[in-house]
Amino acid sequence: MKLLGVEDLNAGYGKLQILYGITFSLENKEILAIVGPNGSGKSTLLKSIFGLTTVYSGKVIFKGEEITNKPPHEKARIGLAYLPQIGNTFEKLTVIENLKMACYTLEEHEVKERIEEVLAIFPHIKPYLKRRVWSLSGGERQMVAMAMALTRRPEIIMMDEPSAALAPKIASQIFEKIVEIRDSLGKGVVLVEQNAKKALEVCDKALLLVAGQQAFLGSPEELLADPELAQTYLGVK
Amino acid sequence: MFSLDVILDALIFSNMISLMAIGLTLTYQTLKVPNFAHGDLVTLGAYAVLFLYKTFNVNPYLALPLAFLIPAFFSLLTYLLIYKPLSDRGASIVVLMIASIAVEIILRNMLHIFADVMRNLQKTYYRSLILREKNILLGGFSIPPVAISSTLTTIFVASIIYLFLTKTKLGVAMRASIENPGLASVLGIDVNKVYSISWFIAGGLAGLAGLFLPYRMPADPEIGWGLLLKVFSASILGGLDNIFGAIAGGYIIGNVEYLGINLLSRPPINLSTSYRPALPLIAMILALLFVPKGITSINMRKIKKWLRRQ
Repeated sequence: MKLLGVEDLNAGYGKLQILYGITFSLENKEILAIVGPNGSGKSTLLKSIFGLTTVYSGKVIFKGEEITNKPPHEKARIGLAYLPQIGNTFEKLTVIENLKMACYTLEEHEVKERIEEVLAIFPHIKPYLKRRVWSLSGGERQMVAMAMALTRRPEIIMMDEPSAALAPKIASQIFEKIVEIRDSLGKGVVLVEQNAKKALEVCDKALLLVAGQQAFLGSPEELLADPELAQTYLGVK
Repeated sequence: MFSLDVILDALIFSNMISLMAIGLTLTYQTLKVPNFAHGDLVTLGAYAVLFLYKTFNVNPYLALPLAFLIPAFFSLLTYLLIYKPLSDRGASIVVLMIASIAVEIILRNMLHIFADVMRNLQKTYYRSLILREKNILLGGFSIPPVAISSTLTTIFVASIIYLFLTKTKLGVAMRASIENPGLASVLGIDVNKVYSISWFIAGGLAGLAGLFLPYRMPADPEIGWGLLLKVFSASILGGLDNIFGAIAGGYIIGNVEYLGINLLSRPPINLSTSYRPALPLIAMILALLFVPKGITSINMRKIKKWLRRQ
């Protein structure tokens, strides 16, 4: 069964329409990379799926159930996780406090188990549990944010530019973790990326957005093989 | 250098300003509204105590729960009925601030009416009320009991708030909601409930300051309003984002005012003591000029490095 389906989605902010007729689907154990030039609506697409914009028409379907107009916290409860690009952690709180807050709605006995579960995936942040998040490096912060999202055992994790402003080596580490989330946890991942080259290396499916329209949907190899699309919009040779 | 009386005066005043500054900082952090009605919550607490004492002869310290609860509920109601609905409708900080000035005017004038009622009940001419107590002897020193009670209360409140904010789930959720309400609500934290608790605690602590107030200065309906500027100074000194900064700010402001004027009124400066109210404001201006983000933003490591180089 399809994990996530988006059908003919038209969305924007108030009267300003950004997205025109977006259609794609996502299965378990799949990474979908949304790529495209600046201002093409990549982040808006993620926000629209999570219910943070105005959807004019079209559907968002999660495991066969339409969830287009469900409020964000409801979507979070049923198994969607959304990681915004900024403000995805509480910087003044310690790492462990952040993780505990991510488990806020869970029972006390579950919290410990879930935190141990995500720390097994992100051993990098284990030594820093008592440190405040603002004192961590960008990559470590991103890992805290990803760990927070995973404590709720979501089925889909949607990330907005997880590698933004990271050194190439650290960005590679983050991409490794994203692959791990797909392969060993079997989750579906929707990834918005500026770093198109890197995103296309790890993804199973690519969606190219140009000015709010879907310019390409298919395998990353196909996209890279199309010299016009790849070079014009992504600068990948 | 200072007589014991002056030091104790400064201590009691600092305790009161600290208790008020904690609340002002808490409510400022939630909606970013500088709450102009905060001083009058202090008066409300003071009048709760005075009313019970003057009419039913209840010991002021036994009236402590009411001194906490009445302003706490009043503060909670203003949040639920005024600031929250306005904020939900997208009111700017300026609108919220003006609303708080309106609440201030209403509350202060209600207290004026109440003071008249109390005067008629007491059949007295003066409206200013004061509480008196006998000094106790402690190790050969004569000490007013309020010096001890207000200090213990402030220490107790600071420890409880510290434990609440760092050790309890609700307290951590409060810090989380203050920092990033959007993320907090996505994680399932009831931000509105957390903010309501902040306003409740803030009002209650203002009331506690009000309990100690009539021991040191004649209480009338204007007293809290008169103190508000000093409380703002203390909060701003503390950086407006930190409860413990607010406490430290309270102690600095209190001591600057009482010890400062004591020093400056001596020879060779001989400054008139009527300049006393200006000192905390000068301290605040200096703070804004040199450490605009408050004393908690001072980088101790840099200072240590600088000292080592000297």
